[in-house]
Amino acid sequence: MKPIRLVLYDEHPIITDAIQHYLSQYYNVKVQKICCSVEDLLNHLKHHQVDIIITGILSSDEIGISLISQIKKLNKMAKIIAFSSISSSFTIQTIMEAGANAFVSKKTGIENLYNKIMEVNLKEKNPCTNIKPTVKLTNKEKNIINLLKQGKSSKEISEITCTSANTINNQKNHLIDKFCCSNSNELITKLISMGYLEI
Amino acid sequence: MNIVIFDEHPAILDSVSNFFSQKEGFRIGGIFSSKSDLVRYMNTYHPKIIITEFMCSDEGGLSWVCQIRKINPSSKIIVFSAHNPHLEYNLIRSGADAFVNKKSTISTLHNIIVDLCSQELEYRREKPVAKYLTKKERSIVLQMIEGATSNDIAQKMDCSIHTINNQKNHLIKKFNCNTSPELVAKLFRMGYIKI
Repeated sequence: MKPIRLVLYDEHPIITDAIQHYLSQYYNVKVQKICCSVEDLLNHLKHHQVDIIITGILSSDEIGISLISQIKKLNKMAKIIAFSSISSSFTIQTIMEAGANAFVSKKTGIENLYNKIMEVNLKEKNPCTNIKPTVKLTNKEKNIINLLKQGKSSKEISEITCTSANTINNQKNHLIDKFCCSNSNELITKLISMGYLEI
Repeated sequence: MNIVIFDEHPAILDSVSNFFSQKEGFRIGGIFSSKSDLVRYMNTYHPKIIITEFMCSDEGGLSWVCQIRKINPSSKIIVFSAHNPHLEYNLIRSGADAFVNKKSTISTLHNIIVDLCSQELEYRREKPVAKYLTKKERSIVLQMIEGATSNDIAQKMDCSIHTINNQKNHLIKKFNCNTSPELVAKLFRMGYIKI
């Protein structure tokens, strides 16, 4: 049997190193590439056939969970295992809905990862069934959120972006709806825990 | 040199301890994924070098660094974390000797430790400064991030909405913020609350 082809992505080399080191004892998996940036990862997927992708979720690129749908777009057959330190059940659910095949918490140790790889690999290849499209942030929204995070009021934001305060309030409310929140405190929390906003 | 490592993620613990057990001059005193175990160990052995994450799921943040420093006035404390280098100044003020970002390689960590150890202890230390969250403040914050309004919180904690608003405003001032979304973001960044 051919070994399972893996690609690892995490911003922290220490994590990818540890995974690679651990998996090197198994003959039925082969680490094809280690990526340290989203760009690197997507580039590699464009040009290579891959069976399973092990990926971190929170990165400083502010793309958050939409990373998973981007991977799916490039490589429909590849399976995705999210390996992350996130523990909020809401986020995990969103990750799975976005198209990930499995979630392994960084807190549970690498042994689990190998088991999950085997488990995921055995599953029938029925990709893209009822995958929810992931939410993307527009540049304008990103800008507003960053200002919000810095403690600017709607009025101050409207002065910076040269729009009316009502527009900003509208956009804020739209964001709050988009992420199913009830106020801006919750919005910030959710965006951080989904990786859209860097801590 | 006796070295201990604290992190909640076994992958990190494994690779750091693997690396240092192969280096001459270091001895792994222990690896810990629970704070209370580490505290117990430190109280008896006072390790020379402590590598620690400061974000953890139970109350972490800068006050954790402060706590380690209190137990080990003469150890070298290296914060090894994925989080924001902008915090370096705050970490040092809380009692850390150095900050190493997890994005850098493990040999960087090694070099920094060697550097630190070659400097003799000069007693530079001012008293560590870190802000603590009281239990009540913590419970308010935890409700806030779930989207509870002051009114909701007041009902739950059985007190007046004005009290809650007061305490909220106090928190906002305490962490030098202007608005509550900023407060939330800052508390995440400083590790007082975790994702």
